[in-house]
Amino acid sequence: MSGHDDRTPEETRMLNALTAGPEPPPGLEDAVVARLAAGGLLARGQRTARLRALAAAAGLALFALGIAVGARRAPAPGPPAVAGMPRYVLLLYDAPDERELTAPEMAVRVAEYRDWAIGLRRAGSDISGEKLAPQPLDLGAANAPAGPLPLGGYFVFSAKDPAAAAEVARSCPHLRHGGRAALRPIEET
Amino acid sequence: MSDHGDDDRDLVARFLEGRDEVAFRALYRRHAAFLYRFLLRLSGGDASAADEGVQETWVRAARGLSSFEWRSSLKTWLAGIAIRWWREFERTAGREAELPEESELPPAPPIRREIERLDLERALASLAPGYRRAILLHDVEGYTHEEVAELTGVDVGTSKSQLSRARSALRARLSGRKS
Repeated sequence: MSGHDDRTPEETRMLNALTAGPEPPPGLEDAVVARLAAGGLLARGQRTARLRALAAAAGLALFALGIAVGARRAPAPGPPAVAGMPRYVLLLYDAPDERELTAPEMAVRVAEYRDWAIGLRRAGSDISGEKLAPQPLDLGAANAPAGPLPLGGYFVFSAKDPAAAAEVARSCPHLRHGGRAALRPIEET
Repeated sequence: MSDHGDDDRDLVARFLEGRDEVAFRALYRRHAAFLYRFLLRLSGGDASAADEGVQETWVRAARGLSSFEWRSSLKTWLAGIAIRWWREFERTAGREAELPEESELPPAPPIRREIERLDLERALASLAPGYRRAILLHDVEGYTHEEVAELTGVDVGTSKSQLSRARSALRARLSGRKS
């Protein structure tokens, strides 16, 4: 191999175009800052109040920090270990104090959930999830009645049986923070 | 690689002075897009891995910045951290990050037609991880063979050889051939 550039103009053009996007998910910056602060690598500045206001106003979608895997950006088959297993959805209902969290506190919380999901994925799980925005969109007469606890997010994962699924659900950090959850098997259609 | 090194130097100095959050966020915004897209493609489209890789890269960078000697650009230094993290990640997952044997690859003709971006992304994601790395570093991100060699721990000749094989594999994928 001579190492010379044997790319055609078409190849050069299409490869160069890849420097545009995909962009990092919203919330990743705050998660990085939270991790550095937690590790004593960064001194928190004066941004907290502004971020708190932003979070209260817009409900930052921080949960998507890498917990939302694959489906939107790059479909990929699940790990072989979970192929053919039943799937479950873990619905997370906000703890009473959830909406009181400041943005930095929320970022730390999100990083905790994310690390939990990544640990499961490293162990072979196909778990993925999303945080839901606080306010549902208005469907008029079709709106479902609001429950006593707001639905804050969900995870979807495969497990060999209901007992294994329940074990995963009980290990979710959401429960340690006073949140409630519902675990439902997915009916494959 | 040009990445406005003077600005990076100023920001790093400000960050190190008092572990300043504002300076760090500015550094993050200058380089996070590169790190994310690089790690996302390096991991074959695993967004979870890319997120984790970006975080780990910055944590390690924040620990090591005080001893960074600016013998490369900050972007190249960060890329090196990201690559080392990715190797560890692949090893933990029980995957081999290096390249297949050369004999496994038949030559493939260059592409002379328009390729849909999605097809290209899929073809890249389906390559052996070492091939993805070679193409991403040189053909997408624009690193020279000297820089790729430094980043990946091989000599320049090996970098050129690996890139040639990687391009051949990519062309084969885009032509619908197995490699």
